Amino acid sequence: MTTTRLIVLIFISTSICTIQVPAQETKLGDVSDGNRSTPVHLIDLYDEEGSLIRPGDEPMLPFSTRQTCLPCHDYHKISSGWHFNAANPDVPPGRRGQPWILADRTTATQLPLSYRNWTGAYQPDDLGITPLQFIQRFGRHMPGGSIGDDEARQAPENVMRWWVSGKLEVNCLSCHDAEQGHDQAEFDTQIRKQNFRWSASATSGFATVRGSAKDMPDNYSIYGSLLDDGRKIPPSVAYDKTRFNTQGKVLFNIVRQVPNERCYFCHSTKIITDESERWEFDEDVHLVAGMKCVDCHRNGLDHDMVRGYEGEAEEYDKPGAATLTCKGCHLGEDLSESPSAGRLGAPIPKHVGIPPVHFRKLTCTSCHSGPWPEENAYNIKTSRAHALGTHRVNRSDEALPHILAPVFVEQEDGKIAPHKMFWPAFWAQVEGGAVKPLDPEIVRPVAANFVERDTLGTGDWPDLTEQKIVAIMRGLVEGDSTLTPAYIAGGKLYSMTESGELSAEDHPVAEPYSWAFAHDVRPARQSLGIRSCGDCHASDSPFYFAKIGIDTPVASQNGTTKIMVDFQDTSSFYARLFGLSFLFRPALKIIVLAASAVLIMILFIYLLRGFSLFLQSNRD
Amino acid sequence: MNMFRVISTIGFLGVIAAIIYLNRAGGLTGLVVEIRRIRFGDFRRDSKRSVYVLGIASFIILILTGFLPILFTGNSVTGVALVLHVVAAPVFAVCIAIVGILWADSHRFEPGELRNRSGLVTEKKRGKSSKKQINSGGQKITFWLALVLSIVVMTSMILSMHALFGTHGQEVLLDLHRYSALFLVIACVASLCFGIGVKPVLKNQKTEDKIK
Repeated sequence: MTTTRLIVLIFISTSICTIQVPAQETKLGDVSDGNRSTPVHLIDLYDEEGSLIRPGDEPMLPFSTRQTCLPCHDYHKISSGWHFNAANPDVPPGRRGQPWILADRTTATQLPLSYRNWTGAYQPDDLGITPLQFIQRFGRHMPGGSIGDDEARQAPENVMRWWVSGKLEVNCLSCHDAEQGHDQAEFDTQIRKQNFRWSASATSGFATVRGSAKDMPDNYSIYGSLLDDGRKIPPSVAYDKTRFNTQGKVLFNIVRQVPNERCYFCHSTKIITDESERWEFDEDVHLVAGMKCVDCHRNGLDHDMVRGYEGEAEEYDKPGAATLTCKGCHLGEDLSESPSAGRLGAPIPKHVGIPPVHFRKLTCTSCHSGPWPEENAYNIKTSRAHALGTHRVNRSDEALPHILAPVFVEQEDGKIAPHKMFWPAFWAQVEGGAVKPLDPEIVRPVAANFVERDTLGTGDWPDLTEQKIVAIMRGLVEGDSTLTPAYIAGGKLYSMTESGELSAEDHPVAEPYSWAFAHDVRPARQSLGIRSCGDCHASDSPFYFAKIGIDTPVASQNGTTKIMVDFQDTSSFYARLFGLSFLFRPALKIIVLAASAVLIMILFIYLLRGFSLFLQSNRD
Repeated sequence: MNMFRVISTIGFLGVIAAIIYLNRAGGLTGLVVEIRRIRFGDFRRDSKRSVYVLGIASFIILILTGFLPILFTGNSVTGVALVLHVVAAPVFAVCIAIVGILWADSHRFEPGELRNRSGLVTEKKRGKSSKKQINSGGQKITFWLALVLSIVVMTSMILSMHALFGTHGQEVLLDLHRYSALFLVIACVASLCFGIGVKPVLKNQKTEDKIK
């Protein structure tokens, strides 16, 4: 124990000594001189100690993005941006977004995790998941930085592993590399091997990384160690020497405007339909028109990306963000002194025939974004939830987590917006009424005895009967007699009664987790309401009455559904009644128009009579 | 929205004051007595009365469902209130059209009728005419005003239901609907004042003057 503490102390003090105080002066690449062309990035490579890397170095070390970019860019400021600040408690969480989803078939788990303080998502720390474990699981779709680059957050038990793996620095190349050979999937491969310090080099397209830091002992040194097991390959990097010029510099194809392909790696959505061929789907109408994601999702040097939702500008005190929402570009700002609508050539919508109440109750995305709502919400897969784009992806459409979209949910601001949604499922312990999720790793040894193996590799729920749930709970109690276990799934909390039977109750922690989405935006001619009001206002319209499956592994609950309106502040009775009223709307129009015509005729006739009398009286 | 809320609040305070005034003058009592006397058979026999009562009933529903949300929450009518509003609207439209047909002639102006100010409220004989004539100039004015406002109220909403106007046009139509509805309410209450309430009050005042 004392030795470990000593090692930690030495490590921390060494780290403090090597921490570079961020330079306060403006860096060369941080302020534009006004020239709009992209500067050529023919630069030296530096390793994490700040030493130059030259072809033929021995040992050859991976380049550090921090040290390589630092001469020209304020790394410290950049690493405070939205993609890197999730674990910073001083950053407001903003509108609820997509969490990381801890999905595990054996323990029938799909649990929302986030370092941001989003309602419904759990802090990884609360489950005992250390930053190292978190990165190994989810780092595949992280651009580095954040918990991977913050020594203060390293768990003491992982300090030695961090020394071997190295920090997961902000990988600038994840976004800004336009290199044809850039391979972001390789980032995942290296993360799984704990090759954090090698990961950026591996994606660059001019370096090859071999070996695995995970296989190395805690006392492994990148400068050379003797290994007991010859089968284990230490991590190493080999550069394409032809990429170094005579001065030892390397040309990076860095672009300021991040290519869409880079964004897509982490922000893709696959809609699971019968038509699964790629050519059958359209992209977002903005991208098809030639725009880039970053045309709207902009950022300054601080890399604090504009997320683009209404209210963001006020929440983060970024007035400019308001001009980059749907409304900001297409309708302009009401208080703007100069015309602001039509930004980037955005067409100004006329919204002919649409009552203004729609704009107070719906977000733009309700009618314009996501797949056209059908009788049932779609099952979807996302990059971050399903590891899309990586070599370890499970291509099965049934693979966990099970996410549904579009679900029209009323947001905190009172507007209805299309959401992606899933039903949390996890094992928990109940303490004084509080439900605390258990790390699936604790449950796995017990659950594995009762859950059948996924021999087909579907990644789908296991068949979880109530008897199995009780058996797993008993197994957990046998392991820890102080534990009061519970299982949450499909909107219900399952717990054991004193007589050993399973009881189920509705519980707030079991409510579905949902987050608003904005893409893909459909063309105006495919927006809701384009055919008639009946697109939404009908007694069977998907907008109100599409079925939302209550996703659960519990066999007795399979097949149960809710409807869209259950997630809106509207009763289904009213929605149906109002929908039915549209059947009589043509009659209403005819009656009222006829009545108006009669009144106009009466007025006209008596006006004429009055006029003729007036003329007659004047003659008399 | 807020401006309309303020204006409609002021308008309805005036309307309530007028109704209280009518009630004190006994004008409403007569109306209530008339309504209480109504039987189903009356509706079949007296189509004019039945249309009038049905029109008033639907008008009251429209007022309550249309204005209460604005006055108390500042929001537009939604939910079941909106459904009721939409159900009552065609009934009111038919009734106001029939009222227009049946009562237009009795509310027509005579040459020189409004030249003296007292013509607004005083009773004037109409010789040998067999038709029942409305003798209050004020009531005639408010009647025709109500017809004009009814046309505005109805057409503004019907036009907004067609794909003719964009967002700005829709907002203008909605404002037009709201303000014309507010003034229609005021016109109708004024009509009641001129038609029911004012005359008895004036008569009472004249009687009191004579006694003095």
